[in-house]
Amino acid sequence: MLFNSIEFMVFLPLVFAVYWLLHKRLWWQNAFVVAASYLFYGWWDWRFLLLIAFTTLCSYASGLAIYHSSTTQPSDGSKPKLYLWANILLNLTILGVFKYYDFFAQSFADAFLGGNAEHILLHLVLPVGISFYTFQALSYSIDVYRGSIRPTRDVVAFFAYVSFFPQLVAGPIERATSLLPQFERQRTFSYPLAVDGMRQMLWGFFKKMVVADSCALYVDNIFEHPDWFNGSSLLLAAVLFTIQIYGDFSGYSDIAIGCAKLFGIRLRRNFNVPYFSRDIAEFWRRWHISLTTWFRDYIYIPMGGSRVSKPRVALNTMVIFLVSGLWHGANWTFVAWGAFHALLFLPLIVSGKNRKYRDVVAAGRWLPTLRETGQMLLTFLLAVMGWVLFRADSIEQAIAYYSHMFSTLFEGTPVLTSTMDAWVVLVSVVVMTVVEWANRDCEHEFHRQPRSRTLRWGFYILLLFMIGGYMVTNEMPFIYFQF
Amino acid sequence: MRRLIRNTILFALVAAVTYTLLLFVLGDWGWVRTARTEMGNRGFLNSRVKDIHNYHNVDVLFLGSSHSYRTFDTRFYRSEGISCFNLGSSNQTPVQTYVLLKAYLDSLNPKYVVFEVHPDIMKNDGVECAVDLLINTPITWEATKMAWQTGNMKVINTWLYSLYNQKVRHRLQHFTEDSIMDDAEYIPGGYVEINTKEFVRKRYSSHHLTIRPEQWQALQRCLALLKERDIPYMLVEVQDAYQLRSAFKNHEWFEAKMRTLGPYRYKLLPLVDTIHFCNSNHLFKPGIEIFNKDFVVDLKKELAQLK
Repeated sequence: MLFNSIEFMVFLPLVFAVYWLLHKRLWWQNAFVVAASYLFYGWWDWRFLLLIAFTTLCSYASGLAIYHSSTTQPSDGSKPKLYLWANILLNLTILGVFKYYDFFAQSFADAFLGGNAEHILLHLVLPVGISFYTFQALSYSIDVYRGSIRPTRDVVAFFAYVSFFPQLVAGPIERATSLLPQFERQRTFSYPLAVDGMRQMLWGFFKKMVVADSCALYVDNIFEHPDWFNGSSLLLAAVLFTIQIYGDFSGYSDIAIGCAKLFGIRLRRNFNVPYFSRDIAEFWRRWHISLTTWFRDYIYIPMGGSRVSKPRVALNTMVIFLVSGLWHGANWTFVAWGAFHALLFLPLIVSGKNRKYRDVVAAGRWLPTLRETGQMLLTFLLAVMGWVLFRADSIEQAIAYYSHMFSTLFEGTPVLTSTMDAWVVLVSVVVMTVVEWANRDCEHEFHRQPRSRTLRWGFYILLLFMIGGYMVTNEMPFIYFQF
Repeated sequence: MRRLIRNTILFALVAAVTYTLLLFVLGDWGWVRTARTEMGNRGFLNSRVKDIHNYHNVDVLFLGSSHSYRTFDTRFYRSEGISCFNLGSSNQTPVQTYVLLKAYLDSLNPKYVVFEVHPDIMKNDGVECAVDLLINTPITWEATKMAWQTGNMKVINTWLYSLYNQKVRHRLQHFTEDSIMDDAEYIPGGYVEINTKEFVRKRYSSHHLTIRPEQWQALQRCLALLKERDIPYMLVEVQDAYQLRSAFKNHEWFEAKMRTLGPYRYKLLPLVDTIHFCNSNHLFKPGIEIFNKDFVVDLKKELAQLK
C-alpha cells in the first residue's frame, strides 16, 4: 500500500481508531499493529509476508540464543558468536539471493561467458523494503551480542518492531535499543505529539506529491533521451533530480515519522536539511541518517573506524561508501555513486576536517554569510554531479550524460516542456526551501509554527490546496521502494 | 483524543470550504494543474450532447472513442437510409460510456447499437475522457459516482468546478462550441471530420495487450443495460495502421475476450498506412469511405433481422 493512495487514506484512520481503543491491552495493541502492518505490506504481495515473518523469527530466536549462551557459559564466547553469524549469514543470504544474485551472475557472465547469462539468472521479484527490514532485524542480534540490549521474550512486540508499517518499506531503519522498548511499554495518547505527527505527514505529502513528482516529470523526460536535449537542459534535469530524490525520500520519511507519532511511537530522524550542508562530510551526517549511522556503527567502527592508520582510515571509508552504494541497488551505477562520494569524503577525513561543521548553518541568523552560501552551493553542485550516476541506467549512460551536458552546456537555454509544470516546480521548491531554512534548527523541517491559529491553519490549507491542485495525478511510487 | 477529533473535524470543514473557493477562483484563470476548467475541445462532446436532443428513436447508435466519432460517418449512413447518432467522445472508455448511456439511451431509443472497442482504450484509466465528460455535459448522479470512483484528483477537482460552473453560474447552458476547430469539423449527428492527414512513420515496440478490470466490468455493465432494453448490439474494432497493429503481440487474445461478450467484428481491409490513415490509429477520408462501405453491408443485414 502506498502512502499516497486512496487505500491508505481509509486504512490510517481505521487503524488509528482501533489502536487507541486497545490502549489498555498492550499485547492486543501490539498484535493489532502486527496485523495492520502485515495487511499494509501484503496489499502489494502477500507471498512476501512469509519472508518477513521468517526473517523476524530467525532474528528473534538468534537474540535469545545469543543471550542464553553468553549467560550460561560466559567463558565460552564462541557460541554467541556462532549464533550471531548464523543469523547474519541467513539474513544476508536472503537479501543477496533476492537483490544481488542476478546482478552478480550477469556481471560474471559479461566478464567470462560473453554476456550470455539467461540460463543462470533467477529473475526473482525484489521484495519491497527487504534492505530496510533486513538491516533492522540484523541490528537487533548485533546489539544483543554486544550487550547493548537484552533480548525480548515478547515475540509479538518483536514482530511489531520489525514490521511496524510506517517504516516497514523504506525506513527510517530503526534500532532495537530505541524502538523495541516503545513496544514493550504502554503508550499513552499525546495530543501535541499527534498534531505534530499530522503536521509532519502533511509536509511529507507536499514534498513527495508536489515537489518530487513535479520534478520527476521533467527528469524522466530528459533522462529517457538525454541526447535529444542541450547541456543546460541536462544540467537542469540533474538539479531537479537532486531535488526530486530529496523530496521523495525525505517526504516518505516525514510521512513515516509523522504517522508513527499518531500511534505514540517516536522514530529516529532520517534527514536533517542535507542540502544546507557546507561540505560533503556534513552532507553525509544529514542525508539518510538512519542508514549512514547503521553503517558507521555496525561496519565502519568494527573495522577500526578512524582510530587506525591513515591508509586504513582511507580504506575503511572507501569500503563503507562502496557498500552503501551497493545497498541502494544491484547496479554498478550505485557503486560508482558510492565511489564518487568516497573520493569527495576522503580528503576531509584524512586531513581530519570531516567534523568541522557539526552545528547548524547560520545559527542564530536569518541569512547565511557569503562564504556559507558559496560552501552550500558547492556542496549542492557536487551532490548534483553524484546524483547523475545514481539516476542513470548504466555507467555508459552516465558518462554519455556528463559528456553531452558539458560539451553543449552553453548551447541555448533549458527546454521547458510546459509553463504550468515549470511554475509548479519553481513555486513548490521555493516554498520548500524557505520553510526548511526556517526550521533548520528544529526537530523536523515543519516543526516551527506561528502562534496564531488562523495563520497556522491558513498555511496548512494552502499546502493541502497545493497537493490537491498541483500534484501529479499519475500514481508515482516512492523511489526508495525499489531498494 | 476528543480534542483531536473535534479540531480535525473543524479543520476539515474550514479546509473543504477554502479549498473549494480557491479551486473556483484559480480554476477560472486556468491556474489549477489538476482540473480541467475549459469547456469544448476537438472531440466536440459539448456540441454532441446539445445536438442529441434533435435525435429520437434512431436506427443505430454508435458508441466508443475517437475511433468511433472519426470513423462512423453519420452522413453516409443517413444516405443509406439508416437514421443514426454517434455518441463517441475522446478516449471514451466503457466507464464513461455507461454514464452517457444512462443519460441518453432512453431518449435516443436506438434499435441497434454499434459499440466500438479498441485495445488501447480498454487499458486506459479513463481520466481524460472523464474530465471531458464532466466539463462538457450536464452533471448527473451517474457522472458524480463515476468521478468519485476514479479516485483521481483531476477528475474530482473537475467535477467540483463543473458543478459550480453548471449549477451556480449556468455557464454550460450558455456556452456554444465552435463547429470548426483547427482541422476538425463537427457534423450534426455526432461525426467529426478531420481534414488534415498527419501520418508519420513510427516504430512501435511490440507489446502485450491488457484489459483493465474496471473497464471490463464497465463494458459488461453497458452491455447489460442494452440487454435489459432488448437492444441488440455489435462490438466493432476499427483497424489501426499496420505499423501500430503489428506491434500488438496477442491480439487474438483480445479478440477472444471480446467474443465472450457477444457479436464482435474485426475485419482487416486492404488499407495502406500512408494513404488511408490520418495517423497510426485513425482512418483518413479514403480509408473511412472504404470502411463504411464495407461495414454498412453487415449493418444492413443486422437491421434487416430486426424487422
